[in-house]
Amino acid sequence: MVQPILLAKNIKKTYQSGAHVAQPVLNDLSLTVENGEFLAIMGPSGSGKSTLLNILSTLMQPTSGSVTINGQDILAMNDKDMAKFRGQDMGFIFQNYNLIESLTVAENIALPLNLQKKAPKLTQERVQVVSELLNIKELRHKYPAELSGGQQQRVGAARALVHEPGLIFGDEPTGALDSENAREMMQYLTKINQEKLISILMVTHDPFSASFASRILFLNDGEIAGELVRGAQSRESFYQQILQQLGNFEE
Amino acid sequence: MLNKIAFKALRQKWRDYSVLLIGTTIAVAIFYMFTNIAMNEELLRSLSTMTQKMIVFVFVLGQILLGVITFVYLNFANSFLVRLRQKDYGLLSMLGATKHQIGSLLLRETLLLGLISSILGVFVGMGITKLSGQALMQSIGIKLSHWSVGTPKVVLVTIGFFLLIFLFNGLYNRWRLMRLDTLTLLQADHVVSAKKVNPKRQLILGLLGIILLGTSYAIMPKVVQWQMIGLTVDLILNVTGTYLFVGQTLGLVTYWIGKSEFGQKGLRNFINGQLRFRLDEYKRILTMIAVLFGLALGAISVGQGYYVSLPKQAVENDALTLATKNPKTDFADLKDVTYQAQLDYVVKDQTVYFNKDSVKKAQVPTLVYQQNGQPDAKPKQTTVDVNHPEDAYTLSTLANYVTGVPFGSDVQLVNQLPAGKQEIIKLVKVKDLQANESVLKKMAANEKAYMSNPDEMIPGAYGNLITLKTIFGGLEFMSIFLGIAFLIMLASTLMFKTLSNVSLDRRRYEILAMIGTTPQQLRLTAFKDVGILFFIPMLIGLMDATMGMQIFKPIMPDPYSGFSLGLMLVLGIYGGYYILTSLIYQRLVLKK
Ligand SMILES: Nc1ncnc2c1ncn2[C@@H]1O[C@H](COP(=O)(O)OP(=O)(O)OP(=O)(O)O)[C@@H](O)[C@H]1O
Ligand SMILES: [Mg+2]
Repeated sequence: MVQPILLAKNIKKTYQSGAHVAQPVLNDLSLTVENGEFLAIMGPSGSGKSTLLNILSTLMQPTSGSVTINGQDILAMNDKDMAKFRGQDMGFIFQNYNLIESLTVAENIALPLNLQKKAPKLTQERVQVVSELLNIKELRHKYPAELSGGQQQRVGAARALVHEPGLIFGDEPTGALDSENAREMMQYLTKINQEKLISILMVTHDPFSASFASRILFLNDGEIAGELVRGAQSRESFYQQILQQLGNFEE
Repeated sequence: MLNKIAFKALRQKWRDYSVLLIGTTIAVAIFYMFTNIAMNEELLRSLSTMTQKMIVFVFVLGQILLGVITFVYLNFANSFLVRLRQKDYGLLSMLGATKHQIGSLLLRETLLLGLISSILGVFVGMGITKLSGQALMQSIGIKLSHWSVGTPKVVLVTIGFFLLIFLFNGLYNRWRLMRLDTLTLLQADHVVSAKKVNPKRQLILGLLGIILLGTSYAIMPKVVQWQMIGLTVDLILNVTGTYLFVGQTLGLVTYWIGKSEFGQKGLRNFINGQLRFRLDEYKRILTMIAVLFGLALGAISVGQGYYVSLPKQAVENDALTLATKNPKTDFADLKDVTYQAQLDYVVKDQTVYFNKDSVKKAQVPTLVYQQNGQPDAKPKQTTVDVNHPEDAYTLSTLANYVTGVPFGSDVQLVNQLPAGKQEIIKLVKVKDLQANESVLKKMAANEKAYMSNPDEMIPGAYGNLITLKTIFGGLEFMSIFLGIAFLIMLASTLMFKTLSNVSLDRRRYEILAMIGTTPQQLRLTAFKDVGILFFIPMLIGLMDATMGMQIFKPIMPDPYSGFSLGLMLVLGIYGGYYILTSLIYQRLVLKK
């Protein structure tokens, strides 16, 4: 069997907040992201979705547990190696403001390649390719402030995949979008996932966005409370299944 | 209640406020020092006997300039304060506080800050005045008799001035705040859009900037000929040129870098983008700082230049180094003695009699001024011609000295000294006046007992040096003082301008970190990011001062002689501010 791209074991996270002992936000949580998988994590507000994502994407340290990405134990790395690892093997798409507003669209997209000191020629080519893929070619010389929310989000996605990482993380990537833009964004992510074979790990509380994933984990009180696999069914019926599952949780 | 909130706010964000407080305290302290001198008329008068009016004028001008800079500076400091509080105000507003309440809260906070920093600043100002006065006077080797740490009047003027500015700023802040709605307040980190530029227009203006700046440099050597008009025109050319250069020419540069392959390496494009984005907002302040940087460096260099030329002038104005009536004086302590002699003399009815033969034998060095009936001719270094003693400068100074009556004494060279009290005077000349200064100082001190008029200067180059130092030393002191004061003010201004924009930058650095920039790269980038803002005005200011020294060529022997010291001083202070700013910037911008 191919090794999973991400393996998290017994993750525990407690925020230190002054004197009183805090409840753990994540409690002994384990999960796996298979290579090429599109995994969504759902859960109510405050259930620890962002916390989990930040830990898995090396932006935050867990209180205990282990995270392995591509066979590498990321918690054993120092800050520098971790940053390099993020720059090379990961992409990030966040809810809003994930572009640098002092740089043009093209410059924003090129950043990860600049950081890896890739040749300027190659950089231009790559920017060109992903701009076409996400349909933002005409926006190349604009500044983020001149773009709509949906356009900004697509630029963010372009930047997340320009260096062809193995894994893209998304924290509510459709959170700031209306349903039409959200659908478009999710279609692009599906395209990236299927055409580029990039694995995607996304957290969201929106069932519609989640229905584009191939598998969904439900998070509740810091633990995984359920799982849905799309399998061969259509997105629409998967969507219905998710709504049903959410209804069950409420009861 | 609101008072309580205002005070609590100060306590909560203590670290950020302390930056602000220190900055404003420094401004008050500098202003205090300056006012203290400007209001000390006795001191100003004693600094220079010849240029009384001039120096009062310089100080009035300086005071106005400093007032303006202080005003601008406090404006930046205040917008830093508003940025610190904006989000909290938004919350308060959302929770139902009225605009009016929040406005008066902000006003109170501003005034509270003003009051604390004014009082602290006056104390710090007194401290620095005392310390810097001592240090500078010691290094120059003069004594300023009217130097004082301050009077109640100075304290009142300073505190009054600052409270007025803070009141104004507070009212302005309140007015601005009232116009914003709750949402804008909550989204304190508002998104700024890039300014659209017309490339053709920018190219023309950018080139014009270079041309104007270049012209202002080109005419500098001739400016003095055209007097006030020349200086004014040059200043206007320089300021306009700098403004266009910063706003337009550099804009072009960032545009090209963005397009070039050079910009594609590492985070260069990020730094370039930061600059490109900031230029429009920063062009005024960077221009002001560039011009003031040049002025500060120029002032220090000119003052220092005059000062280092003093020993040379002192030596040129006398053939001897020292003459002493103290028979116990031993010239053996002096280094490189090129001449020494001893003359007997008798004073009778204000006439001083020397023995003609011994003067001839001693070959007394002297300056001779009157040559071919041209009184203005450059003095000639020669030895005393015993047939024309009236021409010999050395003999007349010696005579004036021993009688203690300047301008009234007569010299006679005779074959036989007349009856009377026979005294001796010893003469010495050394190769290097400065190398012997400390020994000469001791000799001069021991001489006091032998002087008929203790206020008089000892004859010789050493005496000249002391006289010149009391005249020009004060000027030099002032120029260094002025230069440093301005430099500190402008560096603090830039510091606060940079720091008050931190909230916008923070998010950008967060994104960089997220997409894989190592902590070390981030720190380096922050250093460069701030560095460019400091570098641009420094570069222009350095050019300004380097070229500007040309203005003094016709009126100074060597205008560049004080330049290196000025440069060291200015770069030291400015560099210190840069490091401080980038460290604070890093702390604010980079998350642990
Ligand atoms: N820096 C922090 N310090 C202390 N507690 C925190 C911190 N960040 C999050 N928490 C707490 O951890 C819990 C989970 O937060 P998290 O942001 O992971 O939730 P989430 O599932 O992403 O919620 P949402 O859907 O609202 O974004 C919450 O109870 C929150 O209050
Ligand atoms: Mg969240």
